[in-house]
Amino acid sequence: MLVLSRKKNEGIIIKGKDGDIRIFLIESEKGRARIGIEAPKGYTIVREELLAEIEGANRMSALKDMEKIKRFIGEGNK
Amino acid sequence: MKEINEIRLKGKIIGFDKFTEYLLEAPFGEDSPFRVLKCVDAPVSFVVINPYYILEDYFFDVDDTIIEELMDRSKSEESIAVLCIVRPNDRTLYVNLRSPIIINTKKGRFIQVILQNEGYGVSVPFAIKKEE
Repeated sequence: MLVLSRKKNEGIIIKGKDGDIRIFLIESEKGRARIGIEAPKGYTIVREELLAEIEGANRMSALKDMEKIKRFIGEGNK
Repeated sequence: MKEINEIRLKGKIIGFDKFTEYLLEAPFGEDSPFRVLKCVDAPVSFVVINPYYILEDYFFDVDDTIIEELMDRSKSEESIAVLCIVRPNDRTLYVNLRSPIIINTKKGRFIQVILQNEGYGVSVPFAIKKEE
């Protein structure tokens, strides 16, 4: 992993085929940094923990056997 | 939602990147808000729901390029459907309103997107409305 130090308002550019991604430091204090990100269309910017949460929810939602849930939802529909 | 009855779809569920072929089925009947997204290549199924059943003013705002990718520039919005994954746990159902599945039923493609709206939770409990 590349590690760079940045001062307030300094940025980093990631050059890409679809355009450039720009990341810059807005402010930082007490171990917390506010970061600005600009990306070309087609990129989804998402907090890492949110993606992990969605993956986890998807995994827990994946069913092998439909019988139990069929009964469950069937009951509610009646 | 009437047109969604056993259609073949290509797309990926986040965290299940290996699987790209699904069938969208209506085992609870056409009038039910529930559908099942069933993986063709593995015993993996997701129960999904029409989010408007839970939130009448459900709103999804996604990058145009995602819609373009789904639509192939054929801008007939009638073929776009939105479904959210449901997770059953004990006697409660949870719905993921934060990352809906956007489907183009005509093209047979779907994308699970992540919305920027912080107000929509990943695991929102809800109750099945009893029909009178």
